[in-house]
Amino acid sequence: MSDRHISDEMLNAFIDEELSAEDRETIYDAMTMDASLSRRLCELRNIHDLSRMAYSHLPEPPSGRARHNPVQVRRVLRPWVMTMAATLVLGLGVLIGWTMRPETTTAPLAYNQTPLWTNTTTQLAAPANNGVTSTKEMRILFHLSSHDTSKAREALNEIENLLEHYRRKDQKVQVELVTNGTGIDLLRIKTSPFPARISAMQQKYDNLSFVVCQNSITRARQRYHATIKLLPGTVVIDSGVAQIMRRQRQGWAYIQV
Amino acid sequence: MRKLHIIAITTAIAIGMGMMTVIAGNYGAQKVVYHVNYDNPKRQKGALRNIQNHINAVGADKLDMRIVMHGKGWTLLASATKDLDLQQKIISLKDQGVKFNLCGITISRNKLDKKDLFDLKDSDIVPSGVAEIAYLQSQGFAYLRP
Repeated sequence: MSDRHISDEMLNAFIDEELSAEDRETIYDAMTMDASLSRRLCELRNIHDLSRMAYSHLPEPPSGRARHNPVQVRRVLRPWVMTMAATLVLGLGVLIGWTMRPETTTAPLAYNQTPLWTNTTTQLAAPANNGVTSTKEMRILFHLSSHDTSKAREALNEIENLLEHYRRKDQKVQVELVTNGTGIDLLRIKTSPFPARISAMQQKYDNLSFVVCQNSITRARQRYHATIKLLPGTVVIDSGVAQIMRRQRQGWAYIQV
Repeated sequence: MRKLHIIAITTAIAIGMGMMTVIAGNYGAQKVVYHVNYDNPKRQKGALRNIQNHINAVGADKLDMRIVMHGKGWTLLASATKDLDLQQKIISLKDQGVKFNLCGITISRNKLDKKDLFDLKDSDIVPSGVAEIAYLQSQGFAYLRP
């Protein structure tokens, strides 16, 4: 060990008192024999002391942990600030979403109820009530969207039962049967299982209308590659679901068959 | 540090979701009429399940819940006389305030015996199922047909 050249690194360690007793002994011995070593040590000690002085007035780090890992200084604040910020943003978002929720509108829609076209005898579409809901008159929309014969029969049964029920009670009522999807088959000449019954019902009740969805007609025409002929007296409207929505907004009751 | 980060974010999300549940779960008072006019047992049981979920979401004390059966819906009460599980469900719903109404026209049309319909009282019978549904809607009831 005594023959080893003493590096600056060793000397710096010596100055910082990081050497073992044995190594310190070695350096002391070397210094007594080598004057240049002493000079080197002196220079290094000067640099050491100057550095210390220059950095002695640094501002205190916010936390003791920063001394070991300065990058962590910013991260210590983050979690709590972020918690609050995230909560606030979420809360704000929820509040905004809540205030923006769609309100049920009571304003009536002035939709034009004239049908696109009707077959032979013109039957008036159920008059567009401009939202003035008479407590006396009940208005009910039946919705049929399947060509199931038993369902179609049930629809007609229910409508007749209802009309009779209100007739007995002397209660004014408007009834509309809206068909869409394959439900239009009930009102097609080619496929209707009850054309005579429907005709009879139309004659008996003037407060009853049979409505077909134009979109469904178009789809059927494309599917069967044939013109779609409807029973006389049926009314065609643009869209079944739109009609259902319009009626509900106008205060009609809705019953799905 | 990273762990704390994760805990903080999770807490924020949890609080946010909690807030959302509090606000969104508060449906207020509701009036609902459920329309049952089919005889498929699976569909009928599904409807009762929907109704229970509905009660759970809104609160039995905040609900005016009616089930109106007509058409083929009477089979719900008929099969309940033999199906104990279905009986349990019906009793449970009735305990939570749900009313089971049956259409009088349906009874007479199908020549039903009231004894064959589970726990049917005269006060449960309405003159016309569809008229009842229409009437309830005019009184502000929401209409649902599962």
